[in-house]
Amino acid sequence: MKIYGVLLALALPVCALQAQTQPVDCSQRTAEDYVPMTRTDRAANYIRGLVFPQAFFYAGALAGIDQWMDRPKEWGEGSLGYERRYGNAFARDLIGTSLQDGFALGLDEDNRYFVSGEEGFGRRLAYAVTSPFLARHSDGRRTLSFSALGGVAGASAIQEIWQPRSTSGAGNAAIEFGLTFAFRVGLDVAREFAPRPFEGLLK
Amino acid sequence: MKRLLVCMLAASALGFGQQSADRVAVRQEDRVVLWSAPRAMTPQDWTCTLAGCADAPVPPFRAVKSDAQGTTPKILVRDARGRTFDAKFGSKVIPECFSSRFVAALGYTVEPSYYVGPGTIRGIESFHGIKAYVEPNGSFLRARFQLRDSRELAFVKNGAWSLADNRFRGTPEFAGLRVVLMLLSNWDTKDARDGQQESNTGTFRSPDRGHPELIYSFFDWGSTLGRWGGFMDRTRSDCSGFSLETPDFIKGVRGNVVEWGYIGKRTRDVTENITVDDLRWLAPFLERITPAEIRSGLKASSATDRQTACWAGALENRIRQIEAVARTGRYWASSR
Repeated sequence: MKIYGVLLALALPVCALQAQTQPVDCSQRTAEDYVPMTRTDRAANYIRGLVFPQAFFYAGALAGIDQWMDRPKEWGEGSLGYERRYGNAFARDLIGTSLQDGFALGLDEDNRYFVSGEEGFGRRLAYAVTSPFLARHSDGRRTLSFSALGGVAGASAIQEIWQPRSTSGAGNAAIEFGLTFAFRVGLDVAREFAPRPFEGLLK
Repeated sequence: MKRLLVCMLAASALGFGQQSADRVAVRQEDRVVLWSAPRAMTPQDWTCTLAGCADAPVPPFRAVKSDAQGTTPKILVRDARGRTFDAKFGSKVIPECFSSRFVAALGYTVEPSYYVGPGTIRGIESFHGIKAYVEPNGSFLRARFQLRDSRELAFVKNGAWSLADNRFRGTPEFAGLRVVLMLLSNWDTKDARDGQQESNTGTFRSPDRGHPELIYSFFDWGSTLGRWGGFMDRTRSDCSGFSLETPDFIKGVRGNVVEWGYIGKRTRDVTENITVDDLRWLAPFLERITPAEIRSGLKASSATDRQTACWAGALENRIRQIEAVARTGRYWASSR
């Protein structure tokens, strides 16, 4: 019994010291740092989404998934097939981002990802998984993101124009819609848990 | 003929030079100032601004006029004591509330800004452009209220001045102002060249007729406490961005001239020709501001505990960099 008392007496100051000296993480912009975007900020965010290297990286990753799934099969395999899928993914992203940001401006929605800043794996995971479907408003409320849903739905519908027979039709547009959101979920989970050196790649 | 052409070119160049010169109207009796020796700040100054708690806005608030111009919407409101305030919402709330305290503590003139939230503004139903920040019933979460009918300051219409060409250029006071712009990462350095309406520089007149003063001021501190940079990179009210750029605050010292990492809308006009001697002039005033006062000012501006720690830590680091250069005349990375 005595030994527990001694251990407790030793542990308490250590715990108190840890609580005092625990450094604050200033490396990431977290949910509590959210401030609404001005129109100029929105313009910059839109351009950044289209021309920054990440946009090309996303298109490359999406094209890689399509290539792996051999969708659409008419575009073949090899480098030519990948080029076509890359162009397809980039065009879809361009249209989707344009629609989404346009809707977001009108609806006062903000679809940027902010790291949760929460503790606990489950809470952080739940925050990341739901993030692609939620948007913040200027007053900080989070609601269903009509701009994200509308943007992805619109892009999935518009891309039907150039799709070959095997990937055209409403069913395939729905698959495309689901795949895009699955990709976004994966991306937000990666953003939430990414080790520091990779944070920049995922912004 | 050639001589005539040279004369005409010289005359036009001279004319152009005059056009860009300081054109603020100064009366003969005016004492023109950019800076005045700051009085010792009290804890109350950091919580209530230099204007004091007596001038703090008191609810209920009533909307008077809306102004949809500018990057963020604002409305003119009157409080319970009949004082008029300019209410702004969104990303400029913390930056403007804190920076106005910090800048005033260093002796530069700026209108006092108070954090108010949550609150309600009556009579707002007919105003457009602010529905994103204010509910139809007038309730809002957070706002910065800037005193508009100050007893000590009267805004001078068409009093904008240029950072590149003004009567204070070459003085330590003006260099100090530019250092403070960088210290707080104020990238929105629009001046008279951007037009009288767009400019963030202006002049105030002291209503005290016994001591007529024309006060030069950089008055917009809403685009601070974030990342400096170009159109795509800059942010405001971003404590992580502010912290991450802090190691690049001072890049070095070449000869007697300090080199800066800052990028803003008028980078050259803000950064060029700031000497070690200028920092020696400013450092004693920065040293007077304690870490506890910085934290108190941030808390009064509604920063969270984490944000306060991040902003205060980074700001203190930047001040240490200035002090190190002022003390030694040189700069090492270890000064950070």
